[in-house]
Amino acid sequence: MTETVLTFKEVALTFETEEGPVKALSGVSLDIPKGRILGVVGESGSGKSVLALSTLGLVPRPPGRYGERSSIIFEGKDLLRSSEKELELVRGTGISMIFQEPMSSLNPVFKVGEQIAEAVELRILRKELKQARSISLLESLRGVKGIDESRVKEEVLEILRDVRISDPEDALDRYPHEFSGGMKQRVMIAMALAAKPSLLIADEPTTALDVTTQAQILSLVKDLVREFEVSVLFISHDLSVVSEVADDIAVMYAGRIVEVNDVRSIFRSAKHPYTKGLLNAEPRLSETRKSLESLAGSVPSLLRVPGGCAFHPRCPLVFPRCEKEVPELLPVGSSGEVACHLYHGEKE
Amino acid sequence: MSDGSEVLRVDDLRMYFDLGVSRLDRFLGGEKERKFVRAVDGVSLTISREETLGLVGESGSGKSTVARCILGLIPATSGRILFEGMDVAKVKGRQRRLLRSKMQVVFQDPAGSLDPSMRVRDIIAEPLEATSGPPRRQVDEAVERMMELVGLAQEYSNRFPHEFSGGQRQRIGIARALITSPEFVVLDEPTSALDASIQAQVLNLLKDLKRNLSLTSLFITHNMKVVSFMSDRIAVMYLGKIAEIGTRDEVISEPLHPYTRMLIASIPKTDPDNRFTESEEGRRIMEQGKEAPSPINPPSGCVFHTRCPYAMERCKVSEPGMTNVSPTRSVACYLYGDSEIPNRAT
Repeated sequence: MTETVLTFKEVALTFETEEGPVKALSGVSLDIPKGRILGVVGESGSGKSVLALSTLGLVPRPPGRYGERSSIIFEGKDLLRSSEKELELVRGTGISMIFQEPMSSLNPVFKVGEQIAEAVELRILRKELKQARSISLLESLRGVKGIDESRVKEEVLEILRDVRISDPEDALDRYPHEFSGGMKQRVMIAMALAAKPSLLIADEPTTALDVTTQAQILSLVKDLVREFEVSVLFISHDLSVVSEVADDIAVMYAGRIVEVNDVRSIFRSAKHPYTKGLLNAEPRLSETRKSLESLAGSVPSLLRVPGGCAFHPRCPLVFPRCEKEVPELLPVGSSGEVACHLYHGEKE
Repeated sequence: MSDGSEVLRVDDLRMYFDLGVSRLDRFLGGEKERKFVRAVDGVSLTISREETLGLVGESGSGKSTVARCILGLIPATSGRILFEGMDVAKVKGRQRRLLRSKMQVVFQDPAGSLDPSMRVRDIIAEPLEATSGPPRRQVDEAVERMMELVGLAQEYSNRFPHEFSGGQRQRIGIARALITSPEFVVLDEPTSALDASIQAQVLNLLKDLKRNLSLTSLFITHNMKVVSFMSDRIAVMYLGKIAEIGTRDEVISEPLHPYTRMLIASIPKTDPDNRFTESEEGRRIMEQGKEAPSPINPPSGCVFHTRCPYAMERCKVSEPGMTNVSPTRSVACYLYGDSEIPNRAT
């Protein structure tokens, strides 16, 4: 067995709202193996982003509430049962995250060099003070404990070179607004990697970018994953973007994982009717079809998830059992898992 | 298919947005140069009857500005737009209202372009009432017909936009655009805000409508795969200019302009054995690492030369004009011809 960096175990998350409970995640179990890129793909309301936020303890509780059996295990610790102080240490040192909007994630009043330096300093301090129990303690120590500034600067420059910023000396003294969208995303990636995390979470990191810039960022992420030996949870609504970078793909629908497999198996022999639907709904460049094979209906609201298999009202292969019983995510064939009654048990 | 008669002709269209002189510069007594965003800088194109022209480009390429000029929503800086022989900028009064009913538009954001306080029935009816004002019964019939055409159930006619999903709202937008039986429709990123499975439904609907109603349209998108599915011909825009224009098959299967090639190479591939991140072209794009410059200070010569892997000395100083490489296709690139645009002072 390969080593696992992060394990989701039966993660269920419900938000209490005025209109009733919203079941954002239901029974999500998933492993991220070391050194691999796991792509999570799903349409709006599938729960993919809230899965990422859960990993960093960023879901406010209340209104969010996790199921009793839910756990997210990272480095032997259950993140759902960690204190805020423990989570602070995990964020940015064990797990880093890059978001969709680089502009809103970078501080507009600090120079790019300073923002990356902060991440580097925290990492150095944390290493020196293994027993440090909180980030706020480290923060206050930053001023007191003399950190070798030239060493930090060297490291910042190196990271900027790693993310292929052509003139790193010049970039140090610039403010985020002076950069284009793609350059800002490179700075975000630099900050995330400065912490030398073992897991990188990328939530739609290229969705706000133009296609040529997206191509650059996707190639960069792939290269860096190899160089830094970091595992990645890569979230996107776009199956083709995920296919470009991921080793494995998990498909989410209405808060559940409906299929997991390696990227080739998903592309060549998708099992779940929803995965097949997504693959066929995508127009191809050399398109010869007169019409696309579209899935009927629309993505369900998480306030009113259909009973049984949540996909059954849109499924072309639906049969009576699908309306009554939620299919479990179970192994099928030589690799992968699928949650669909077509593959498990009796059809009647 | 197209009978070849021309519905729309755009001649050397320019749209410069005046940024004025910066107040700080005026205060400091420094540079007093007026700055302009050259959003559209010399675009010419034609659209024939029953044809869909796809206009594709990245953000800042000027594709939406071209559409707004065509629709007469903003006055062009220079150039001419002829719709069925009428100069869009010059028609007035009744003629203008008539023109409006013949040209309609569907916008990207179905939530932002529908009045939240109006019922679906009234949203769809509004363009018809505004242009010809037929009797109520006739309007009701037309609304019913439109709702059926775009696949909306009649019982929804008294609901408000917020009660609908994104895909359904886009159907409302399409019904509203088609109720005046327009001869020409601008579709400005109509599926970009939609989920993949819903995008397929709306694209299929648009394609069916195009066939069944013999629509002529301009389809604007940043998505090469979508434009390839929808278009008969494709124009590729970069920094306010058309880089290449030709039939769909020509542009997609054999892109000529280096920018078109870069765009096509950058498309994420669903097939993991065909990844651009592992292709030669993809490597090149990444290593070169440049992004589109600002349209405020476009590069001299060919606007693409700063990112072009084939740039020659000549590309830096003089601007290539459109060269016809086949009866249906032209490219603005010195690799394919010597046509040159004389330097013009602005």
